[in-house]
Amino acid sequence: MMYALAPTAAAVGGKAFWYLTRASGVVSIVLLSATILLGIVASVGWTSTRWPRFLSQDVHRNLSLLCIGFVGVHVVTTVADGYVPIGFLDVILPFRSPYRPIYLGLGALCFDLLLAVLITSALRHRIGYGSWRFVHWLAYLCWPIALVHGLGSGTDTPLPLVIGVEVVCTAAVLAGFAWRLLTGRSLPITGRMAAAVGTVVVMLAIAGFAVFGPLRPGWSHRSGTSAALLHQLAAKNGGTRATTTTPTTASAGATTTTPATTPAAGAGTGTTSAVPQAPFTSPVTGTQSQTPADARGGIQITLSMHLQNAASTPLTVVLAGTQSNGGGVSLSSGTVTFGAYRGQVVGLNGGTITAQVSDPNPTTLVINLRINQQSAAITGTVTGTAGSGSR
Amino acid sequence: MRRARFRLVVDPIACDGAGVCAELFPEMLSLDPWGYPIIHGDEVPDGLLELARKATVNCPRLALTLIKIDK
Ligand code: SF4
Repeated sequence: MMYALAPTAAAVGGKAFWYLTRASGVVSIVLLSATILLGIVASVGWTSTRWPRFLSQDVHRNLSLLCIGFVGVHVVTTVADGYVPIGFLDVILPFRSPYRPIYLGLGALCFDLLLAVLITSALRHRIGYGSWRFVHWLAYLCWPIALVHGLGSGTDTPLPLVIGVEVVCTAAVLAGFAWRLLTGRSLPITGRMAAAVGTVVVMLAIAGFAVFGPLRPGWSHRSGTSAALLHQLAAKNGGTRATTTTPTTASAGATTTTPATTPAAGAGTGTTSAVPQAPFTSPVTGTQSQTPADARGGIQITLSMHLQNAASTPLTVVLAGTQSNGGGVSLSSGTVTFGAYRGQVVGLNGGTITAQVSDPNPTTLVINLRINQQSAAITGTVTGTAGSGSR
Repeated sequence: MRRARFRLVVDPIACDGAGVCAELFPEMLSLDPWGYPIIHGDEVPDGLLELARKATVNCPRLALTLIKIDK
């Protein structure tokens, strides 16, 4: 069944799974937050003439089931998408997926916790109040884990809408938790103080993580995906492009240029005046393309970029390398063309490319990249400093 | 064969007097001045069994149970 679906999914519906995964992930965190809030309302025992206590419990239970449903969709579409190799085992067993292992692992951990809470709740009358309650406390843990999972493995993290949703959910859950701690009858005051301090520490850590991790460019390279897989994904993007322009199979024929980019042309017509004088820092956008491997496995990856405030001057990086049998790529050299500047790539580290260029004044360019694996779109920043500076 | 018959039982140690049960099932439950449930009547009539079950399921402390009446 899956095999029959796979080619169609890849050709037509591949994107649909991808959109579903992201959307259901965001909906899940909203539902999880709402579920926790209503759980708190129910356990605090707040009630009014218009809102009897059993309503909190009913809504809490129904929301939690809805949440689990969405998490199910999230998980199944992630696996079915097949763009990155995530298997059904990765869903249950944390930290073993090759793609962003830590953050996907947190997702798996969260899923396990949710399942535990679900099962113990269904068997509540059999396992007794004490054990049910203990497992139910874990549901609180689920929330920060889910949040970090979303921040770290979600590709939509920097979108204002997603940040907005996460901020609102966080504020709501924190307010609810504070209320719970203030009214908690069953915990001693020291325990509640410890929980409050712990919450503040955890939330500060998560906020710091978000600001310095996924919200900075180049996260896809820093999030623990193995270099081989990243290159494989990049090759996939390049491969699909190449097959649309050359009707041969990916392994055949060494095409040296892709129609999308003509590295040499930009240099001749480039308006040198638009190239900023070092030192400067500027955002860049662009696209990545790749030639199919030739007979000896040689490939060429072209990053065609433009500075946002100097749109007329292309910044082109051509990386050459060889493709191993395993699908990984080892890059051996690279050239940079930027207006009148010419030079070599001297360092390649995750999403950071360092290049020495000259016009003929020596200048160091540091390009921080984030390559969208779906569209091959590049976003990032480029920093130029005079001289062959270190760093 | 007769249908199974049930009555409601409160575990007074587990019950925290939160009163969810009486909200849900006032037909047979009311609350004493401290909020603890008082059960009215013995056997739960057939027509009310569904409501009684809902009350037991929603008791946050699992203190309210339906038990079978023998014979
Ligand atoms: S719902 Fe349960 S805990 Fe609350 S008063 Fe009724 S029996 Fe007691």
